[in-house]
Amino acid sequence: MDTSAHTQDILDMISNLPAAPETQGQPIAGVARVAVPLRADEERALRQHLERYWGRPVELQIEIAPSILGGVWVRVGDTVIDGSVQGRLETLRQHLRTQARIMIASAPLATGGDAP
Amino acid sequence: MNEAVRAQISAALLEQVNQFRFALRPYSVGTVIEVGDGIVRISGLTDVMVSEMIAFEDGTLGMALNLESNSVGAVLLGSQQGIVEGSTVRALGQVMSAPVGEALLGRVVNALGQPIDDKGPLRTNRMRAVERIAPGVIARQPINQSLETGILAIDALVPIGRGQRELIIGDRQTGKTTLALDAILNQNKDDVLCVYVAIGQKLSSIAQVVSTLQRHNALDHTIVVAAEASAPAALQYLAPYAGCAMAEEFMEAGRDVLIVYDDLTKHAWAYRQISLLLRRPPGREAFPGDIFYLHSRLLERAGRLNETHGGGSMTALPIIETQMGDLAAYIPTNVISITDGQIFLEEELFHAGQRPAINAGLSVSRVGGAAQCKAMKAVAGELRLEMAQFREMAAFAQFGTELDRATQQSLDRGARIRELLKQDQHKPLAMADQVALLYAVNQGELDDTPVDKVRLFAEQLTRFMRESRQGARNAISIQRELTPEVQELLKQAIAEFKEHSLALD
Repeated sequence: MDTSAHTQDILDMISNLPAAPETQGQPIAGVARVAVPLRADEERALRQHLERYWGRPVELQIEIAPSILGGVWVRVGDTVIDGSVQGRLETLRQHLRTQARIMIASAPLATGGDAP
Repeated sequence: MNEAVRAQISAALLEQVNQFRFALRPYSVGTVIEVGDGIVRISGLTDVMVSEMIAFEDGTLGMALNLESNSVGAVLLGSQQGIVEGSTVRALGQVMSAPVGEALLGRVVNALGQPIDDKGPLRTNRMRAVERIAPGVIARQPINQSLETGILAIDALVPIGRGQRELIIGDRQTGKTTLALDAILNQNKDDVLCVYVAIGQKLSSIAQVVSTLQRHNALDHTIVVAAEASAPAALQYLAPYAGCAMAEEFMEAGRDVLIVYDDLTKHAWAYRQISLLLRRPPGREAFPGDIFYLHSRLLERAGRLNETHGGGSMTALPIIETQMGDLAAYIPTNVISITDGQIFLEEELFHAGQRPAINAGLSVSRVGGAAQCKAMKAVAGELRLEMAQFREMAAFAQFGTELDRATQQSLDRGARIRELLKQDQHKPLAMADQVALLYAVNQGELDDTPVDKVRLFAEQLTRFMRESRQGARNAISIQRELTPEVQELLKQAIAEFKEHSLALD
């Protein structure tokens, strides 16, 4: 997977989140996890988007965590924005699970003998 | 599995994967700072709502209850094993909900709506918040239709209307559950759906209830919500609300529902436990301040909706267990004041063989009378009076004094009525049969039957009516009124039966 395209994708999503009402707050500490180091412009964009979302300066510490596979995972204060590939896969898995439930629910009962 | 099915499944999966659109949803997280006794204290979770579901790292669910300035108190809806201090908690962004719908009928589920029987996953995706505001005044209509329990003593003396809340109260082992169960057995799928909520009961008792329902083909129209005694207190606290949400779904679809909460005493205990552990201030009997609201908001959700809201109804039969017949204890008085009447079961009557052990003097139904059909009203009105007179005179008669004829007659009649009101468990009587029996006793047709033969008389008369007087029975159940013609039919039937049965002797 093209990681930088993916990161850009997530950055776009973060920039699209509704901004917090302007609070003249103290800087807030946060952690961002990425799978591979961010380019300078990506990092700048991330910081900007997060400060816009929280409406105050964010002291962001960037960690490299290959286990998230790709994308960006951010925790600022008590809020998590999970844009990691791992998180997206997890959401996909849950989505498939619910869809499967819906299919079972709408399918006729007992399909016959050759079901596993 | 054959090739075609496999291809079908992978095509469906691929389609779902393609349709899947990921959206970023920021969520609150917190850290466990304290865990014990099913209660978790969490720091963080700033945006969490009251009664919002939360998830722990190991997948265990919880519910946020106390939102304080620097921590959140939550209850665990599962085992506390695997939850360690410092682990992360995630807010799920939705208040406590339970699955609802027809798919739950015939199933046994826990307070979260997860199936605990062996019939596979639930075939429903509809969820509904377990806590909801009760329907308002505008949406309701007065109770005007009866809910037949099939129990003669109840249908005659403390009639229950659809949408009523009638409390069943009594000591342990007085037949409270049996009474409620009989009411469920008397319903059928096309008419009234049932929800049975077991709170803090032994698993063996729950299993017995389920098997009784199954044996009498009543499980098809019943949902059993079970929070057994060993379940976390939070689940016992939630169970009645979850059951209520399931019933509400049917009510809003225009169906009539009967819900049994068995029992609310243990529900109050579970809530007391949670409250004390959450350090909410204890009040009388160590119950928290909102113990009244706990039950009032639950029972207020029962009622009868008007036609513009679908015309459905939810009839609630909460059960309360008393200690040594003490109706004046805290929880009993609370629930008595919330409900529209109570059926008081007495241990003494039970042991004297009067089963169901209903104390006719202390039992009342505040709204059911309006719902009683005319035929029943006609025969039951006299019955009430006779019973009252009988109770009064029975006290005198104990002294063995000489009695005048009228008094003696009244006593004899009373003894027969009392005998007639005895009924075996799980043997519901149809309305027409009840009317016939009461008509017979009111007309003095049983006065010449020895008291110990009254039940035999009743049983045989019912069988006779069912077998050869179907016309009269139909007339009663269709007209629902004691017209002179119906009375004539009954009179004839009884006369013929008496001739018949005398010949048998």
